[in-house]
Amino acid sequence: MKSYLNFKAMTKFTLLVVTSFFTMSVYAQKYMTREGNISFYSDASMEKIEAKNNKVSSAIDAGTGKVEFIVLIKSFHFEKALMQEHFNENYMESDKFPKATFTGTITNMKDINLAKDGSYKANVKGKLTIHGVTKDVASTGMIKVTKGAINVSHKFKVALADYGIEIPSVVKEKIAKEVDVTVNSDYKAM
Amino acid sequence: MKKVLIILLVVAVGISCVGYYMWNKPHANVSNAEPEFKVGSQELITAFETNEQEANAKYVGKLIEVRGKISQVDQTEDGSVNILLESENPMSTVMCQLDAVEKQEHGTLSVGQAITLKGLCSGYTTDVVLDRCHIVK
Repeated sequence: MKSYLNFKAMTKFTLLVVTSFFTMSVYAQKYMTREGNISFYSDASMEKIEAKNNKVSSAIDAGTGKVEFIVLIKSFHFEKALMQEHFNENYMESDKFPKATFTGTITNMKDINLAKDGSYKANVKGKLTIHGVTKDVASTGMIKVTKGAINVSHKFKVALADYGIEIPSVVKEKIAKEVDVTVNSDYKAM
Repeated sequence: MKKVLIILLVVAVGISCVGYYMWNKPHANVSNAEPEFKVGSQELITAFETNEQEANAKYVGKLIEVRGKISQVDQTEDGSVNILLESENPMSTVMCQLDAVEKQEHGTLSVGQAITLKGLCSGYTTDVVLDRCHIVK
């Protein structure tokens, strides 16, 4: 009789451990990329300015909902070398501030099941740091889950003045006050 | 008076030409440039891990020649090729993106292969990132 009870207890215990492990391993999943895409576009009266960065580092913790992006300014590619030079030296001062970062949380993580294929709206809140200036931001992006891989896409605007990015009056007409930023990154489960 | 006008015209055309050239100037040549530093991949990663500010001041924006063992080769959707050089920490690599401006043939790249590349250092995320890389050997 004793051995039967022990067997039952053991099975229950094992089942509990296995289930917890399985649940933990699905919901505590971390996703990352080192090849995320962020591009920006500025359309002012005289000029269209466009740059792409395809080496964005980012991580998402499905358990806590924490999101992080690290963007190296010097990794933005412009078609025109002179534009890239001005962007780095005059506007972003990338020698002083080599990165732009975002750290935040997906506040509606309970609505998102990263283990199930589908498209989910993700409400994100956090701190965006550009050119050494940090601002609280909140926005909504899209998370698309396809067979265990996730894609994050998001479009938002950045007002250059908010981050101390000065546009000299000479080129004021060429550069828009607000820049359109597009995020499109594929993550792999760790 | 006519002479002055002609001189002014020549100067104006001259300035326009310089302006046009500058506006359309090509990206810097990397393939023929001499690297400022020659380091091993572990040494480079350790420098950023130990003191990022110092490493930024020393390496960012400079042409660096780095040697190491390939841990991974990725080809992204937009056709970029990223060669990752391994380190003691599996989460940390030197990521070298092959130059898309001056394209070169890269032949076979296999995991475990010893390789030397030179590229412009953009900085440190969780990896040290080199841009516009060329394979040296």
